[in-house]
Amino acid sequence: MDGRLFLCTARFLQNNGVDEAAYRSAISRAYYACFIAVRDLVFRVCSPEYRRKAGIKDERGIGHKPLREYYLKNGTTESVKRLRDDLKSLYTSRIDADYNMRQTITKDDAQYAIEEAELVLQSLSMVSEKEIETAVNNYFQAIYPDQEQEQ
Amino acid sequence: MTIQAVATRSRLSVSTDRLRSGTLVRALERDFPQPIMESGEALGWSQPTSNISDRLILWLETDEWGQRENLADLRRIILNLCSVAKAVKFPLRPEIEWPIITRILENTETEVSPAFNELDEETVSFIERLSLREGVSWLQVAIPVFFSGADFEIELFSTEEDEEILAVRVYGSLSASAFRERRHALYKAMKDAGHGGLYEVVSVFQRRTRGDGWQAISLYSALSAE
Repeated sequence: MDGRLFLCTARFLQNNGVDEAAYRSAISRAYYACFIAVRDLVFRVCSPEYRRKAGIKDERGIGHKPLREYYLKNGTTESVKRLRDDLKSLYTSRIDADYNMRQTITKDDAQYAIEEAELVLQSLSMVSEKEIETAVNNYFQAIYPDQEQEQ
Repeated sequence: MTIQAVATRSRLSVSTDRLRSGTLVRALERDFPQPIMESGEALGWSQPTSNISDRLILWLETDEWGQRENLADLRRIILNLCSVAKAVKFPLRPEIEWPIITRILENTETEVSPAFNELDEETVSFIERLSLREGVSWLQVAIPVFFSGADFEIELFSTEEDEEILAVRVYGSLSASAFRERRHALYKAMKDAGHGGLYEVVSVFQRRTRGDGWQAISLYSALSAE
């Protein structure tokens, strides 16, 4: 399944939600739509050698923090750096929605999160795989400086 | 209750924390980030206390006075803004101690970190541990500048992956694209101001305020002619 479909779920929850739990879930789904799309792309461009060395067996081996703070953070272009910042913002909003019951979350909050997620996915579509690959390679070259990447 | 008045392009920021004890916060001769505004405009905004935050913000954007660095003018404008807020916006709010506010704004001799004491103990501990106090003080001034006087909260989030994030919850009604652009501008200014350490751990996101949360104050047409 394409992780982007979670955005449809987020919209459904936002449109049809009858309570705050639905709006919180919409924010969470909006984040995961972006997270999975970026994560799967990072996995795809990561070389088998680096995957093996890092113990990444499949996409699930890339967590929230490593995705942003290890891979995207080592991007050389503004678009990749912005992607990292956008993802972090959505992630923090999701943590707030999922765990902070003291905070009131409204239908408008859910709508906003969906709009932001749409923008992030739109931005992602304009980032080349090469840019992401460079970011990933920069990270691994920094932690395995003596390792020649297998071609 | 907190009152905060920010005058940009003039390097003047007046705000108070612990209003009841009369603490004054002022930061002169610091480089504050530039606001997103039209040249020559001066706008005043107020946000009454709400169910979200027990905070009153008097927001001032100024250009002409700021360029002349006429701090006396700016201080008077802030005082006028207070007067209008008292008379027009909050006439029946006895819990707002207007005489104290006026005295604080008139006496601008003390300099401390803006609203630092509003943070909870866990967040303060994190900030101290990472030596981010100066950066957070900068952030507390910068957020209203970048997000049109928005109310905000700073809180330490611990995640499922044991990551610690200094979350900034901004209450505003900006569109997703506008908020996103301003956030990127804020992050750039943060790094340019030498707060790269803060950038590593901070995350800014927006929540909507109540529909009646923001009201403009029409105050500056006469002053603009000066």
